[in-house]
Amino acid sequence: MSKVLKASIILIFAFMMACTSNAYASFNASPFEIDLQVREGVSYNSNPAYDIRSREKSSWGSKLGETVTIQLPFGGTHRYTLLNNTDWTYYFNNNAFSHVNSNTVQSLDLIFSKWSFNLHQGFNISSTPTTEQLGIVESDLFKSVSPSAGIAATGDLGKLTLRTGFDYSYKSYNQDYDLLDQDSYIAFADAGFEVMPVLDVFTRYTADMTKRRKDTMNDSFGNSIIGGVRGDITPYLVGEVGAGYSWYDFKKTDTAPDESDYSNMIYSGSLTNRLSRLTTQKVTFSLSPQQGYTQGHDYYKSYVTKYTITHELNDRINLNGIAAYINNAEGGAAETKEKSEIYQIGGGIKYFIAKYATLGISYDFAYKDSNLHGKDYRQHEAVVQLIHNF
Amino acid sequence: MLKNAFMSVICLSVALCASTAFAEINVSAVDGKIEVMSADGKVILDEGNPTATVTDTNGAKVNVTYDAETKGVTVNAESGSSSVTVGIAKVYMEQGQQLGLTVDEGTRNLTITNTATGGGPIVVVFPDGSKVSIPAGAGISLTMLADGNYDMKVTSGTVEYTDPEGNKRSLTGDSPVIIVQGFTTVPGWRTSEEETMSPATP
Repeated sequence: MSKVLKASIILIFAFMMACTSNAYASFNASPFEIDLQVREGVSYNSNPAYDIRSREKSSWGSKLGETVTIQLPFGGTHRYTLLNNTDWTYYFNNNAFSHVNSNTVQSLDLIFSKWSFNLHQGFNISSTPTTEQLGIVESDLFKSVSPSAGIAATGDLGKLTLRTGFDYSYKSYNQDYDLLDQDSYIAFADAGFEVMPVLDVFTRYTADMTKRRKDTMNDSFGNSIIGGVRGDITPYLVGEVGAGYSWYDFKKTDTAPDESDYSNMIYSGSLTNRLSRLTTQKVTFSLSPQQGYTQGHDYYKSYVTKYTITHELNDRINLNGIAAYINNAEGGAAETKEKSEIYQIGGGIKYFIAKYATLGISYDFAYKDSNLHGKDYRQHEAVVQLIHNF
Repeated sequence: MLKNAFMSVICLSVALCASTAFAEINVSAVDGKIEVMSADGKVILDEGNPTATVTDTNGAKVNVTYDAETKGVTVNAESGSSSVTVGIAKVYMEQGQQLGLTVDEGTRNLTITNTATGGGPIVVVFPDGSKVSIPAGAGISLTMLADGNYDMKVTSGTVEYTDPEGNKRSLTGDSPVIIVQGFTTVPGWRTSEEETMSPATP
């Protein structure tokens, strides 16, 4: 059966489900509150394996996904939440690159008059196709499993707002990437002072300890301090902008002799411009260090910026666009270091078919330019998807 | 003839631009009083001075009234269009629409209700690009959580919520709360990890 025919059958079946989806609208499970979203669609990807130009192989595929939220309110203001989000992509041609991503989080939110607390615990399964890198990497997928847990607290002390939190995560990767195996401990303290109504100046300190489970990789302890403004920055611009400094010490051992440390300026921001009731645009940006992934590279410096715009054309049609740029530069003692730039641009339309169904059409283009041979790629992806909200 | 047509177009364009009436105000709670900021300046509302009127040069007019007993604020778009910014919410209103607000210090807690007896919905847009359309008689509450994001809960009626990706759904008081992003972008443990296209992936 041809790939186009398979894709058409899936889309027709999905449309039939959309037309009959009202039959599944009611969830009477008091005192629980339940929300369910189901997604199904077809896709075309010019290069699912992120391969270099001469080795690109395209594939049609199908996408299935769900998001389920179960909440239990108690005590008037408190709440327990269980959330699961799972997406599965299956490629008809290169099905070795088919992959699943699933994230499950349970959290307890306790809200009092001046203080709020949150406890959360999660389990994440992630997989994404990976190029064979000309024989260096044998796996078709880059896979990880990561359980995590954490707490957070916020105190409203008049003009002063205090926030603190701690997160632990255990990360385990497949064999080709097991140098990334790690235990991560992150704690932060944030203080915001109101200088004008709904505008705070803030400062935040973050301590970040990472223990690598492979003895050829260095453990590290990092510090970051950042300050800036947060809130209604202008009548049309809201968000957070900050700049600061970050320094990381990497622990030298006999098996991990690289002791290159990191210290550099950092900055981050998230700014939203609500142009009108119909149009909103948003930009986020950050410069920060990340843990290295190969021996001799303790860290890499990552600059990320992303722009999105949404526009409501009418009651039924929403348009959206996205552009992103990522610049990564490896550090460490190894002579060969990767420097890369990734560009992404895309757009989509959402058409509100019926009370519980939305049709989505999207296109994305991604391009990576790397100084290392075999690590460039370009990729086009188009997706037609039906989204049901119950 | 062409010249007359051209002049007509110019006059019509000027007339249309001149007729766009839009007022913008910012409402917040400061030291137990209500502060209303606009292009006209700042007005403090309290028990002794409970009302303010904001006008713009094109004729938009917004009336703001404070009820010291209930600590509630009523905003009425008497003429033209207007937007009311309160905390993380930006509320868009058309002529004749009316909304009720309760605002606490620091905007950790906020309720927005469409108190008009008829007419179209008011639209609230959040910093993450999501929006909620509130018809007459319906309302929502926003409560800040420990991570700086907000719970959005329907307090009355049925509202239409559009998420940041453009998906729409109807929400009632029986629906789970929606997490709306606040001003900060702290920990995303509530949602899936976003692919970051790091070097470790291809």
